[in-house]
Amino acid sequence: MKLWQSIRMAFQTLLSKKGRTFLTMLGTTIGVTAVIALVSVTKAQNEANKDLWRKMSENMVFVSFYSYEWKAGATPNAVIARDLRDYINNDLTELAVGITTNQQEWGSSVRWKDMIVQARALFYGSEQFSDVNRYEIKYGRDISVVDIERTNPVAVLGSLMCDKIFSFQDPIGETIYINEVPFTIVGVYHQRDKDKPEWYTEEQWYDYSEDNLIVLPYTASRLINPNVIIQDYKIKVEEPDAALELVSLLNDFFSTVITRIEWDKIDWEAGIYPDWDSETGYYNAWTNFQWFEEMDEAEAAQTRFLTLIAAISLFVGGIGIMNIMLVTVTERTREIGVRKAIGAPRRTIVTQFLIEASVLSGAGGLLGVILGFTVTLYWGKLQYDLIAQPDLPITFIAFAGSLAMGIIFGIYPAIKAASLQPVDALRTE
Amino acid sequence: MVYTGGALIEIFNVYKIYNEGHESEVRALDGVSLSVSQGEYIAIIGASGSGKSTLMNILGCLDIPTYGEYILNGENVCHLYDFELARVRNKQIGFIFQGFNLLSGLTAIENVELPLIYQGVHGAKRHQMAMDALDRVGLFDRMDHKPGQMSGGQQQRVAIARALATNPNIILADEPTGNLDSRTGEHVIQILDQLNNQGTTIVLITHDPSVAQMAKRRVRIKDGRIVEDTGLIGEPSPKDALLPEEGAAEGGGRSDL
Repeated sequence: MKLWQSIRMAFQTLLSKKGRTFLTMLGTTIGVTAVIALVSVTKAQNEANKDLWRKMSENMVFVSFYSYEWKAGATPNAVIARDLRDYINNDLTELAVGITTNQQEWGSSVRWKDMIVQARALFYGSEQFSDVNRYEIKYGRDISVVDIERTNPVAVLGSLMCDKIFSFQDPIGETIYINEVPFTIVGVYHQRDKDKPEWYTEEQWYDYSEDNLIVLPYTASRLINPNVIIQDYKIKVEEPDAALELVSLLNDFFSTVITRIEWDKIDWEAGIYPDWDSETGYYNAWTNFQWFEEMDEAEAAQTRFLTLIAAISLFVGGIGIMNIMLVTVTERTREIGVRKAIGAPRRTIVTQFLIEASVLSGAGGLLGVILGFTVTLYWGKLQYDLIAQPDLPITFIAFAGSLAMGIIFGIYPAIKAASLQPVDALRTE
Repeated sequence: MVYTGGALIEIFNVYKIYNEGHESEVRALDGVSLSVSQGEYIAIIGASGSGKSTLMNILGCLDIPTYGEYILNGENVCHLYDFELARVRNKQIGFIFQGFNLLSGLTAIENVELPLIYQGVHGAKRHQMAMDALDRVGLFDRMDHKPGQMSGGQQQRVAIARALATNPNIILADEPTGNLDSRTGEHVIQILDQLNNQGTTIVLITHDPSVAQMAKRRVRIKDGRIVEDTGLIGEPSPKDALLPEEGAAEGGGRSDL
């Protein structure tokens, strides 16, 4: 008997008992719908999280290093800083936009004449501070290389800070005092942060706005506080993919100038101790994109868990199919008897019932795929306001799983049907 | 053992015993021997519980005897596997049941095609053979009707067409008129008569003497033994020659006539 004929007959049989067929399919349908929707929406959500993370990370790589200059053989910090800047600006122009020191002090007092205001942040920056942090000059000029080399006492203000101190007055050329050290204002940045939201009071907004800042050449830090040690840097890369590459390049760079203790290789219990004598400092380079790997791992674990749940519900659906197929075999004992009497071999009967079971589960699975796609699109839109793409591999796996489940759970009823003796089967009323 | 006579059906000393050795032992067939030649029209008559249904099941290869041998068209069918029995039923035998036993989901022509499908006949040829069979029972114009849309007599004629479709050597009819009124029953009997005239061997199982009258040979069965066989008059059956060798079949197949 040809396969398509058997399938057509299975469809006819199933259609003759629509209610029962539908209810039996429901188990498989729900299982498949659940797995497609859950996995797809989870993936879409994770992807959206990554996008947000990417935006927030602003393509940054962070560097922190400190060389123990007093130790024999240690490279001076200033030399490393200069080499790092040259390395970034000369050799890595393809990858990096710029480098600035990332040293800051929070809540510094700034005095102009009799007026004292709090700057949210006081940055010790390089000439690339504005490039890295997306500030743009509105009036005057930016911090320059010369300022840094000569330790010029100059300052650039953020827009909010400028408004607060000077209102309508031209700030360029005015002198402000930080820790009673005079600095000349040479420039003002454009507003970068958003306008003050209504729910903030003006005072609160001064504490939050990224436009409430003041930037000094990093070498000028010693004018204010001789103890400040510059050790944090920030590098902006052209695109997210470059971040991880840059991290590995920076590790290579630092390993030639600083010997640090590899803490992940220390195993106190196994008797592997740090070699304190060889240590000449520490360094670290990292990016938020490193979290992506962990996010991917978490997502994989989530997917495995959801798939397990779906497998369980498919299993339950399969048991439902087996149950209904056993009922069907009992109901159709006489039909089986007739078929056997007129010459149907065991194999044909087994095939017939297996096909019926798999058509049942396959149709349930197909309905599940349609529902799963619909739910994915709507749920993704409603809950997370994002376009969730149905995940195709999981769709395939879920559908194949439902089909396999029908065949596996159809085997027992099918064999039971085929094993009926024609005499006994025909005797049944 | 050499079987002679070229008969279509030959059974020797057939026993069908349920729960053998227990107190509840039932001997449905108690040493039956029977020989049916090609082209015969034979009725097996008996009250219910006489063993005639068991005999029919064994003749139809639906059941296997506990003891004894069954040679069908030269092939010993007592030791065949399930799939081989299915093949024998499919090719050699056409069944007609009391309750028609058509598949309700299929049309008349699809019902008639079913045994041909199991035989592996394909496409247009199968359709043609099924149409010919329906034509022979006069239901050519009803081939797209489902059993539910037909009268009992028509359903039984579809069943006959199904039995005929594979051109079997034997048609086994188990109370074919049992569920029909006398007029339609007569019609069915007429068709069987015609088939026999065209050369098909017919074995009719019935408890109705008037139906049995139509057959050319009548075998009466009682308590699992043949008690009357009109076919034996004047023509010695091959089994008579074998009886002394068998010995064990004490009077089993012997007719007292």
